[in-house]
Amino acid sequence: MALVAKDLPQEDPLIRMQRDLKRANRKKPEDIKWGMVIDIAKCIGCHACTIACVAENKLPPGVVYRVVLEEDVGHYPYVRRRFIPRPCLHCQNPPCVKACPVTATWKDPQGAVVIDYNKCIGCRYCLVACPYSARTSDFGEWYTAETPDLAGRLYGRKAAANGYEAHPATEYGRKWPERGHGSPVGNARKCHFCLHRLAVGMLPACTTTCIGRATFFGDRTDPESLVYEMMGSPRVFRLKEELGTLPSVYYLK
Amino acid sequence: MNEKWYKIIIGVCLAGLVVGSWGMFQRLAYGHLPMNYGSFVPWGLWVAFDLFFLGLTAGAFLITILTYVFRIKLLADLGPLAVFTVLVTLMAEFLIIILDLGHPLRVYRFLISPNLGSMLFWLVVFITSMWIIYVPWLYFLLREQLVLYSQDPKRPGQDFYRFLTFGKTTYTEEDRRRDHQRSRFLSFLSLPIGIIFFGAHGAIFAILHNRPIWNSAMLPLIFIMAALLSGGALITFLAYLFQPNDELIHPLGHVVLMILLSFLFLEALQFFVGYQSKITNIVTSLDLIAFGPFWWAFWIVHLLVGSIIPAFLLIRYPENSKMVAWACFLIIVTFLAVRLNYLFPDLAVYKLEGLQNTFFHSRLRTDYVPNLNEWLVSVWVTSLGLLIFMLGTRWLPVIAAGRGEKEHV
Amino acid sequence: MSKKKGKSEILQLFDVFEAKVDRRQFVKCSALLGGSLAASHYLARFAAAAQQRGPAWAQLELGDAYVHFKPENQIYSACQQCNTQCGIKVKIVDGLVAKIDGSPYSPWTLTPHIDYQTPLVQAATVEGALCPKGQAGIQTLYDPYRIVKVLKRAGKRGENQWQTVSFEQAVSEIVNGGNLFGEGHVEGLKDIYILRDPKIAKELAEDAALVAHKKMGLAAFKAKHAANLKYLIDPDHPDLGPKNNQFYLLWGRAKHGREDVFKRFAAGAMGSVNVHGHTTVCQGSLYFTCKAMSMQFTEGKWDTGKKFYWQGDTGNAEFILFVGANPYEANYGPPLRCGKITDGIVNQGMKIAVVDPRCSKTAARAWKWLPVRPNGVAAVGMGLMRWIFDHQRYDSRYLANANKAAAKADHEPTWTQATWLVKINKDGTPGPFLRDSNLGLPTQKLAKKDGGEWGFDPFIVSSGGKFKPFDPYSETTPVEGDLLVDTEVKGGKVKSVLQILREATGAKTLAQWAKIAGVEEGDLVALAREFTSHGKRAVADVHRGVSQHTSGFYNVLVYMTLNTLIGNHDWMGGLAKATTYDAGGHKPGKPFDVTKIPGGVKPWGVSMLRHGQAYDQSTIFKGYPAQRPWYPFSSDIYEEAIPSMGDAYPYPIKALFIYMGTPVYSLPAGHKLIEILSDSKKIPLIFASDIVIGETSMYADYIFPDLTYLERWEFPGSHPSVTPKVGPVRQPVSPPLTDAVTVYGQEAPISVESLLLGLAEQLKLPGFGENAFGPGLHFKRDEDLYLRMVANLAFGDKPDGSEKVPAASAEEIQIFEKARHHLPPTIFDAARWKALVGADLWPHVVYVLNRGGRFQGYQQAYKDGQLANKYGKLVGIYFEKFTTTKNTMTGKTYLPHADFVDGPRDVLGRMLDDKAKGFDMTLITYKPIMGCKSRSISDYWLLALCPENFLEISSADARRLNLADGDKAKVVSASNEEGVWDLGPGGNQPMIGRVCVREGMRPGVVAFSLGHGHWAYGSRPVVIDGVEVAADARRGTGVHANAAMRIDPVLKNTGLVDLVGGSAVFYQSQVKLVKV
Ligand SMILES: Nc1nc2c(c(=O)[nH]1)N[C@H]1C(S)=C(S)[C@@H](COP(=O)(O)OP(=O)(O)OC[C@H]3O[C@@H](n4cnc5c(=O)[nH]c(N)nc54)[C@H](O)[C@@H]3O)O[C@H]1N2
Ligand SMILES: Nc1nc2c(c(=O)[nH]1)N[C@H]1C(S)=C(S)[C@@H](COP(=O)(O)OP(=O)(O)OC[C@H]3O[C@@H](n4cnc5c(=O)[nH]c(N)nc54)[C@H](O)[C@@H]3O)O[C@H]1N2
Ligand code: SF4
Ligand code: SF4
Ligand code: SF4
Ligand code: SF4
Ligand code: SF4
Ligand SMILES: [Mo]
Repeated sequence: MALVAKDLPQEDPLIRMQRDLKRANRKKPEDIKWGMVIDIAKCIGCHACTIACVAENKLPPGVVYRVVLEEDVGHYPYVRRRFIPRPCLHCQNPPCVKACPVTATWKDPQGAVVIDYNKCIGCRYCLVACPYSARTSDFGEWYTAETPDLAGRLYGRKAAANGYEAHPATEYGRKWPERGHGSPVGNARKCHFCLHRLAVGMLPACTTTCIGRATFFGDRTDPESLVYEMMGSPRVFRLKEELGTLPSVYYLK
Repeated sequence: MNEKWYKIIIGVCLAGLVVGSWGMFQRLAYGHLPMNYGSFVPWGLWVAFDLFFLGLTAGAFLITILTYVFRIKLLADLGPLAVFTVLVTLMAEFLIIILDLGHPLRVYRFLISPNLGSMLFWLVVFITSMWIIYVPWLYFLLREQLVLYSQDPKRPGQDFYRFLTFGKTTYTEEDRRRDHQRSRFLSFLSLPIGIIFFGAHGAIFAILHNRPIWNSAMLPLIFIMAALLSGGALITFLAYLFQPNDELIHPLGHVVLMILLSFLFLEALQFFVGYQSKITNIVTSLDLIAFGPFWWAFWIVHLLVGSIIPAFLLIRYPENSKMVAWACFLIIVTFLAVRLNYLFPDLAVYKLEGLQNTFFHSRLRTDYVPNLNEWLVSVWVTSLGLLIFMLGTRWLPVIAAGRGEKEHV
Repeated sequence: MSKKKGKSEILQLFDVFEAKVDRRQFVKCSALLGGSLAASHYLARFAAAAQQRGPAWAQLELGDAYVHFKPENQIYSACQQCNTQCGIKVKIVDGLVAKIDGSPYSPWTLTPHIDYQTPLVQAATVEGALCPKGQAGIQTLYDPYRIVKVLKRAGKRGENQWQTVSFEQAVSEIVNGGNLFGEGHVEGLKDIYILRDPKIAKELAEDAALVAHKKMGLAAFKAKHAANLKYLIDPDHPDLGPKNNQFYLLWGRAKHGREDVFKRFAAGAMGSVNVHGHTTVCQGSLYFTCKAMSMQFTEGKWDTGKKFYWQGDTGNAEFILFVGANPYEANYGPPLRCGKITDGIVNQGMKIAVVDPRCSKTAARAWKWLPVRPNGVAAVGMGLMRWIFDHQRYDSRYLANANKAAAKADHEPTWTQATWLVKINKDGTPGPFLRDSNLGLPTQKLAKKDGGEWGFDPFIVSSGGKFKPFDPYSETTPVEGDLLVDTEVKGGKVKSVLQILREATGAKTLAQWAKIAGVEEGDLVALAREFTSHGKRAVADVHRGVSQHTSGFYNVLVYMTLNTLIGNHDWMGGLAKATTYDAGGHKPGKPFDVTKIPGGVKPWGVSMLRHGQAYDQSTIFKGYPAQRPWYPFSSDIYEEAIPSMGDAYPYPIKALFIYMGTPVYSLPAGHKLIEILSDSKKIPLIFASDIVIGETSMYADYIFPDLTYLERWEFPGSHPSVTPKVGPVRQPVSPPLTDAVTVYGQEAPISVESLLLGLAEQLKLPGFGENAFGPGLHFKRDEDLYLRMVANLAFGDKPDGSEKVPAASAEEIQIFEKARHHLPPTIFDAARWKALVGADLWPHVVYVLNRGGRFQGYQQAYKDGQLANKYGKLVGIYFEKFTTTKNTMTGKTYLPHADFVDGPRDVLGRMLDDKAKGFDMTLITYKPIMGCKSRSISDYWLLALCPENFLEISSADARRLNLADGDKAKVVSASNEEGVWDLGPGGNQPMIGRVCVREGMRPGVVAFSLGHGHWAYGSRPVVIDGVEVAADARRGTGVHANAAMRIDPVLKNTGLVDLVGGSAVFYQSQVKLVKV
């Protein structure tokens, strides 16, 4: 019965995936195919991924890239709750891309569906087209909008806004103008697999902050990678498979 | 139409422009912030209006085709007016859609990075080509009259006409023949373009994955029907205003009645199939149309005022131009309700169960109701369109040019 | 941004990464992270790749504007969005906090966390998990409603009329008093801090004690100390202590560092016994049960034990029974425990069961959910124990060990009193332990720790039927005893402790226990079998749902005794305790002893909470019941503080300082405190430290703006389920947002430290300013204390310094300074900091700060299937002390062992039956994952997840009360028939919330989550300098039903309490939902 230290957890999945990521990043970029696996059995419905994403991308009110659906099943006292996170599924046959009249959104060589905020005319057709409501539009809202500004006596609205709203995040590794002076305001926005982080060898924010360790990310064509391993699970399924959108986000029942 | 009505309508338009300008100010100053549509109902009242205008375009288009392609003399007098109407409604359509964009100044993107796979792209292509066809077409139809105007010293605004005729002082038979050839040519050109144009509109919605009502082959058909119905009604109404002669109005009335009935048939079919399918999403959104918070828009506005009463009038008083006109008027004004009913209920269904409870914000809900600003902007655009139309009928020879069209169609 | 600039930056980064990283570390980390290529190296490749790919439009050129990943843009610290205190990595851009993530060095956010020696450049791109609150911390920092200037009330208390005043003015008014509010004279601290002579204090204290113990007459005392009676609160009751005690420092959430400053200020320097925290509002009885269990028999008597508690070793247990504990939403805490559980369940065949009236997220994903009846929570544990006894599934090998030697022989780190014999009183109740002397055997002489001898009267076990004396701590003579003994000695009955427990659990059948608990008998059997099927790798992990009851102490004891039956303490996958590095520096060899307070007055007298003191040995003893309860076995009794001031029992308080606590909002029946707080007769002077105008600070006379957790220092310590030894450090990462002031000639931002330093300066307190810690060791600004504490951590706990952390390399020191270039000199000054700890220690201090503290490796925390950081002592399950100590309300002695004690009861021990009066629902409460207390209402991102909370009821009750989702209902109770918060001058607030019908609720129970229903914190307008500050509707949503919690019918101004463990009671109020 005495147990020895060897059955201690040896490595956090996050570290393993980070190694996978660095290995992937050594490949020719066009040989990488990004993929995400979400294990419903491990999701505890904490919504950390939602907020991590909001914080990483400094999303304004009404814009959200990754939500977590909560569902109560069963009747008292036999009750279960299921939690289903939903980022952009980065469909390999993406209806949103087909919809866009000006090719402001497309599937990049690594399989990530991206939006070029500078090309997007904001027609919102892609929002209508996405079967998963994974896209939201930036109407130029501010979280601090209704707060008072008694500068000098209180910290105040302007200072607070400057703190976490005025300077947009560097999505796609780009600098965007002060909020209110152009894109991404007026654009369709969505999960971009944190390309700006991948590019520097970091996992997506929703993945690193997943306290249930339910989110896995990596190069789904790399047989050594954890995502590849997970995708082999018999529990695997994809959302609304029947639509033939071929998401690169896989779920485990 | 008589001076009194003309003045009243102009007055109404001006009033509309003044009132609507508040909405326009909101839109231009604060972008989309003051509007109610959001991310789960991305397309709101303005898109409904776009579809509404589209219907009117369709009607006018119908006349032009009947007259100049199929050479049905009956409507010939209305030819030029119809062509002009097409242009005005297209203008309104274009305007309201531009206002709906997040980045209107980027429309040039359609040229720089077009997506040939996108229905929306094609829609824009067709709108533009319609312009390209109809602007010269109208010109060739009016040129003769314009020349006359420009030569008539008693006419106010002579220089204006001179400018329009590029100083052309005489209009020969030769000119007339050539202009007719040209307009014939353009009319032929407009036929396919127009048809696809209306089809495309429906397709925009029809091609969408797992959209309860839209995603069906029937939709484009319904759209064309809808377009014809509202358009037909419009033309009949205009005819009553501008060419109040019975042998023109009555047959038109019949046509409208036919379209109305077949449209209702299609609609009934859609409900029947939908409910039979028992697919939750479809049923929910159909329920929303029939029993949702806006049930009255469907039952009272669309069915009662917009369909049953007109149908009754058309059947009961086929020989009474006034009644026919009234019927058509009702159809036109209530048609917005139909458009709204095609747009919102479908968007009102959450695409994923429980989505409404994941992240709370007014723009992440499907219970959309257009707010005052959106209505005001619509009023502004509509008023502008109507104003231009009225002025056109007064300052351009669209009516005059109609007279005597009979012989050469 | 041009590519050029990007590239050149990349190159220069390369140098840092490749060239200078020393080889050995490089290899290690390559192994860890698959190579240490410069992050931006990839950037270059992607940008390049984008060029030669696809049609022009398809080129999404990734820019290089993302700079979070650079080590010089990161500072490691500790989160405090809740008290789990996870390690964080804060990313700073242009002097603003840009993003917060989990620190990979911290055992809180990764399992296992990365090697402590990993160079910063390696760790720069690695991050661990944080919960949503941690992710939203930026909005706590940049909250529009944060106060930045000192506020003084301009109207009556609680009217929320404020004026901004200078820090200096406020400080001197508090020190000197005067007619401060035009309401008459107010005594300042200088009038309270009057006994300043340590010598006089000592003499008074000693003689006062004699008076209390009737060893000296009062007259004699008065005569002897005639000159000094003026120092006393009440010369007729000298044992109450000096007037100094009339200053009360009350804190809510404080960690080491700040806690040390508080104790130094209020106790060490001002000599007041009244410096108390909030433990009992939190999980009091959990602490104090474990404290009692840790009582050791030293030199002839049972000591008081250590204030601590046990949790399961989450990552290595095979079965965890969570009772009233909710790791997926709250607890200590989600990032720290969830990943271990989910991985265990999915990959290691681990099982968890949850006992909770509400189907929490934890329960929702568990193997079994037992929807227990709130008042029956202990019955589950009793049932389990009964089954375990009936089927002999306890670890008899472990339990047989009567002393240390026997335990050692079995490789057991701990041992218990299971076999010890107890004398049974005539009435059948258990009494003291059987001793040698009872058998007429002689006592032994043993050596005292510091010289001298003491007489040891050995304990007795029955071994093979024969009595056998033993020394519990003998390392040499192992003694084992018979487990179940029921016999006689000289006509007196004696039983073994295990026998007593067996009889207690045997008092009811399994079916009866199940009925009391309101659960299925079959589930109890399944649980008991599971619990006893994994050797030491099963554990019962309890928290507030168990401890915050009138019988909280015994509820916890039941489950801790259950754990003892399988002896899982100190075993991998069993019970673990927190272990930390010493920062105080009192231990030999340490660089700085910052616990010393030269010239301080030793505090003495009866504390306002009457804790740890004997009522019947005080001069205010008036028989039973006492006016208010005394608490011999607990401390920091939050719910007693302000109510006792209201009753001026045992004496009046003249000045109250509240730090980061909001008792009005957080306590059950907190509304009763408002009457007291808003009455300046009862408490003449109240000042608070807060970051906003909060639910409680709004009743203060002065509010001093404080720095948030992202701008300041603290030493968060650890939690029981963190098995490695740790010493996390919270340090300034953001420039301070409050105004700067000058204290002791030093410029610093307004903070609680500046406040106390400022007061100390004017009061000329010892232990502050010049030579505060000893010759040459000044305390003039916060870092004077905190950096020295960091130095102590860096040095380690080995006197020879062999445990010292490595020295930071030149590069790491460079990164350290770069990462702080945005901090103003009022906070950071490399030279100043270095000088403070000395050039030799500096690189080691930097090493610790660069990693947000020091953390033992995960592997090092385990050895041979056991925990490396052991409790390693006697685990008490029978408390002899209790058989002699009297409950001050009933006059009876305390029950000395685990048992089911029904509730709710008032302080006189009488059962309350509000149910009979028609209050048909039991009100419970919980913490949602996206909310923390009153505090997270400023985090708008979190509000998007949960804009308002609900009154959650079962579908059965919904039908019964015909309430539907979204209906509004009011919560009323026997002690709050109107169902409103009476805010005094602040108006009132009805307890009306929306109903949410859930299958996952036990019928008859209504739950609400903590965090909404505000009346301050920006939810209502306030006036500052005549200007109205508008409210933000988003902060005023939902319902906070604490005011519906039952008021104790005897005490009348506080909620129900657990007289043993001190807990405030949250889960036993009967209420009614009235549809509105
Ligand atoms: N999200 C979040 N996490 C936090 C905090 C926070 O504010 N927010 N605060 C931290 C602090 S200070 C603490 S003390 C811990 C507390 O951590 P926990 O005690 O684990 O969490 P609580 O939600 O207070 O209560 C635990 C559970 O007790 C259940 N319960 C209520 N009544 C009863 C009962 O009668 N019997 C039983 N068996 N269960 C009952 C509740 O439904 C709840 O699920 O959380 C810490 N973590
Ligand atoms: N209904 C219900 N009530 C509960 C609980 C529950 O589960 N349900 N849980 C209980 C538990 S476990 C606990 S621990 C208590 C906690 O209750 P308290 O110990 O009273 O502390 P907090 O609620 O954390 O609030 C601290 C207050 O300090 C202020 N503050 C915030 N940040 C700072 C800072 O950085 N510096 C200073 N100086 N002030 C600051 C804010 O005004 C805030 O309201 O609540 C208890 N109350
Ligand atoms: S999920 Fe929606 S947005 Fe994302 S790729 Fe698929 S269709 Fe496009
Ligand atoms: S909103 Fe932007 S991305 Fe979406 S379809 Fe329109 S242009 Fe394309
Ligand atoms: S990958 Fe990045 S953008 Fe997408 S959901 Fe996760 S955090 Fe958000
Ligand atoms: S962070 Fe992980 S566990 Fe939490 S909700 Fe998101 S996916 Fe689920
Ligand atoms: S649990 Fe969340 S809020 Fe609490 S300390 Fe950890 S990260 Fe911060
Ligand atoms: Mo707590």
